[in-house]
Amino acid sequence: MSVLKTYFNMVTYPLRNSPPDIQRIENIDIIKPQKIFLDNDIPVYIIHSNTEDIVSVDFIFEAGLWQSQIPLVPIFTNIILTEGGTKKRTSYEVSELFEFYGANLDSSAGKDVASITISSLNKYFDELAPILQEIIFEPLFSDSELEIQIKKIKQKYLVNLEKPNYIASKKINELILGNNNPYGYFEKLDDFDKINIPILKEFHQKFYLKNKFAIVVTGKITGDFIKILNKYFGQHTVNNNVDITYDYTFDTIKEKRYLINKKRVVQDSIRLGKQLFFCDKEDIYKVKILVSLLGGYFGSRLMKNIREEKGLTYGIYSFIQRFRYSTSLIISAETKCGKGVSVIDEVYNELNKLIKEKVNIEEINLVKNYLLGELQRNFDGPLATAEMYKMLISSNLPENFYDNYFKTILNINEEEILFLASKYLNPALMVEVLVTN
Amino acid sequence: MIKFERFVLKNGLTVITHNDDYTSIVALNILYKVGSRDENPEKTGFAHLFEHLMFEGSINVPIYDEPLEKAGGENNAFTNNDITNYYLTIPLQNIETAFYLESDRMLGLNFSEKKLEVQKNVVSEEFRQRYLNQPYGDAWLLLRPLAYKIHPYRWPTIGMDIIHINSITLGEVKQFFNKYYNPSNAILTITGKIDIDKIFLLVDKWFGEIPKGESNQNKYPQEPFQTSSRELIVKRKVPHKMIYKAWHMYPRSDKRFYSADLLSDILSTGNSARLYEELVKKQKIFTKIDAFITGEADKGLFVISGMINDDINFEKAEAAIMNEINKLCNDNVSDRELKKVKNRIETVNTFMNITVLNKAMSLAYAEFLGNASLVNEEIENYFRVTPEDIKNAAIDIFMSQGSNTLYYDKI
Repeated sequence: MSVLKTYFNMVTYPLRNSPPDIQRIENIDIIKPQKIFLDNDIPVYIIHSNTEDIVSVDFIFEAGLWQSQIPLVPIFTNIILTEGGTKKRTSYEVSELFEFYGANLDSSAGKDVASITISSLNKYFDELAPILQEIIFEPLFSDSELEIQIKKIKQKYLVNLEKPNYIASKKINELILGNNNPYGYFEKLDDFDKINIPILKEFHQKFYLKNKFAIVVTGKITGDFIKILNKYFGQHTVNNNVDITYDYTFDTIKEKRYLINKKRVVQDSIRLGKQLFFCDKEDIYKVKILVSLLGGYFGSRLMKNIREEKGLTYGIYSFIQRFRYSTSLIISAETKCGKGVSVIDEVYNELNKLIKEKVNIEEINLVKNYLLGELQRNFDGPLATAEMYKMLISSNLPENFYDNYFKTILNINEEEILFLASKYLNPALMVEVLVTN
Repeated sequence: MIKFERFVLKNGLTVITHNDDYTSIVALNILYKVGSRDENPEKTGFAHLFEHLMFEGSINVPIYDEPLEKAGGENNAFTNNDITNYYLTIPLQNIETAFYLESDRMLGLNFSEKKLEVQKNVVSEEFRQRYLNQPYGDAWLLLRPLAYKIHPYRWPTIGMDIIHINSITLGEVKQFFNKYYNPSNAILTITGKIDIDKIFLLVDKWFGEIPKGESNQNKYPQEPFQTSSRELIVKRKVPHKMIYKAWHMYPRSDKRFYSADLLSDILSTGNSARLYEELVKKQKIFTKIDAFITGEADKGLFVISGMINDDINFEKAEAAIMNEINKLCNDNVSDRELKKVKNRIETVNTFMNITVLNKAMSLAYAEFLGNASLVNEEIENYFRVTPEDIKNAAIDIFMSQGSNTLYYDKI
C-alpha cells in the first residue's frame, strides 16, 4: 500500500528537529529494607517512609500450593482464615471491625507462599493488630463457612473454564511442567469434593502456626509499632522452616501442539512455553533482558510484528514465569480468529531471528534504557519497594538480586544476547497450546 | 493534601504542577476533554480508536514509544465516556523527552492509511478479547442501550459494534483531531521532584507555540426522567445466571453524588456489607453480588449485579435485592455503618494519592470537573453525608423512577 502522508497541522518549529538529549540512568537507589527479628526470631523487613500516615503489613507464610499434595488445600486454608471467623468473633464481626477502621485485608495463596496483607491508616493499627493475630492463630474452622467458600470458588472456577485465555494459561503450564506437581497441575471439578475441615486444620497447624513466617512492613514505622508487632506476633514458638521433600516430578509432555476446540470463541488463544534450566546462575538476569527484548514491552519484537505491523492481536507478550523450583519461558496472545497458527509461526520466525542475527546496538540500548527505567519505577515509593521484596522472599532469591540485575542490564552486550538466544530460545523445544473454534 | 500550582498558557493550555520530593520519577498526564459521548451515533468507538492512533506517529516523531522507551519512560492511555487521558512516567533527568513527545502529538499527527487499518484491526481484537470472548463480557453492550435512550452514554467506549470502528476514515480522523486535540481543550499535569520555574520554561518552550483551538462546547442530549421500568432477557452459554439492575443517578458535580457512592459501599463494599452478608452468606441466593456507580460527568448509573445460585430463580433473586433496597429507603443507616464506609474512603484516598502518577491523574480529572482543588475536598465531601442523605438518595434513586433489568440466563 502506498504511504499517504497526512499532515494535520503544518507547523514545525526549529527546536523540534533535534529531540532532547537522553541521559542514561547510571544509578538507581535500590532501597534495602531494614531487617529485624521479633522475640521468636520471625524476621521483619522494614521499608521506611515518611510521606504518608499509612502502614502496610504483609505476612508471608510457607503455605503455597507447593506445600500440599492435595490440590486446593492451601487456597481454602488461606481464605478460611480471612473470611471464616475466629474462635472469638464471627466472620461478619471480623470483617466489620477491619472495615470499620477502613483497613483493607487481602489474602492469597500462590504457588510457593501464601500471604495475608493489611493496609490501613497508621492511627488504627493498634486496634487492628489483635484481630489480625486472631485470624492467623485462632481461626474458626466451621463447616458452614467452608461450604460458602467452596461454592463461591467453584463458581469462579466454572466461569474461568469458559474463558479461552484461562484455559490456555493453565494448559501450557500443565504441558511444560507436567501434572505431577502443584506448578503444572490443572485443578479438576472433583478436587473441590476432597476439601474438608480436618485437612485444612492440619495444613494450618503445620504451615501457619508452627512454621516460621516473614513479615514485610512499610509506612511510618515507629518503635511503638514494632512493639505492637512483637506483642502479637513475636511471642509464640516457631520451628525453622522444614524443607519437606515431596514426590513431585517435572515432565514436559512430548506432544508439540495441544489443540483445544472450543465452540463460539471469537479469538484464538495461543501460548508457547518451555522450561528454562540455567547452566549458569547469572543467566537468569540475562535471560530476563532477552525475553524483554522479544516481548516484554510495547516496542518489543513480538508487539511490533504482530500487533503494530499485522494488527492480529491486541497484545502479545513473552515473560519469565519464576517459581522456587522451576522457571519457564511463556509467550502469550489472544489473536484474530483463525490466525493462531500463523501467529505461532511468526513467533518462531522471531525466535529464529534472535538466534541467527546479532541484535543491533541501538535496539540493545533501547531495551537497556527501558529496563533501567522500569527498575527505577519498581523502587519508586515505599509500597512499590515492599512489593519487590515480597517477590524476593516468595521466590527465595538472594537479597542482592536487584543489584545484580541492574549491573547485568548495564553490561550485557550483543554477543551475549545472541549466545543466550541459541541456548534458551530453541523453537524445537517449545510446546504450544492453541484454543480455537 | 496535595499542594499544587496552576497556570494557563496564552494558547489556553491549563497546566498543573505538584512537587513531591520523595521520588526520582516524574509523572506527566494530559487529559483531553473528549470522550465517547462526543461521538456520532453511527461511528461509536471513535474516541477510543483515536487514542490508539495518537501512538502511531506525530509530525517529528515516527513512533511515539521509541524515544520514550529510550529515555526509560513508560506510558499508557485510556478513554472513557467523558475524557481521553494520556499518561507517562519517566526518570527525572529525562523529563524533557516527555515534553517533546506530548507536545509534538498535540501539534499534529502524521501517519499512513495503513497504520489506521492496522489499528482498526487491533481495536477489533481488543473488542473481541474484552467484550465477546469471555462469559458475561457483553453485559455492558446490552445494559447501556437499555438504560439510556437519548444520552450518548447509551454506547460503551469500545463502540456499539465492530462495524462502526471499521467504517472510520482518515478524513474523519483528521476532523476529530482538529476539533478536540488542541491546547484549549487539554489539561496538563506534572508531578514529581520538580522545580516549578524550570517546569514553566519547559512547558512554554514545548507547548507555548501550539496554536490555540476551541475547547469542547458540545451539549449532550440529557436522558429524560425514566417513568417506567425496562427489562431485557438474554440467553448465553454461561455457567450461571446473572442479574443486572441499573438506575439513573446523579452527575459527578452534584453533592448527592457522594451519598450515592456511599450507598453503594453500604450495599456491597467489603465482606461486612449488606448484600454480601444477607444475600450471599445468610440467604445463599447469590454467590457474588456487587453494587457500584459508574460515576460519569453527566448522570451515571447505579448498578447492582449478582451471580445467582443455581437453585434460585430470577424472580426470587430480584425480590431479595429489592428487599434490601426497601430497608435503605425505610430506615436510616446507623452512625457506625456510615462511619465505616467513610473510613474506608479515607484509607483508599490516602493510599491512592501516594504515587506521583495517581496524583497527576487525580489533579487532571478534578480540573476537568471544574477545579483541581476538588482532590483535596473529596474526603470532606464524603464525611459530610448524613444518614438522612443516604436514605433520601435511596428513595430518589430506587423508588422515584423506573429501573433497568438485564436477566442474563444460561442456555
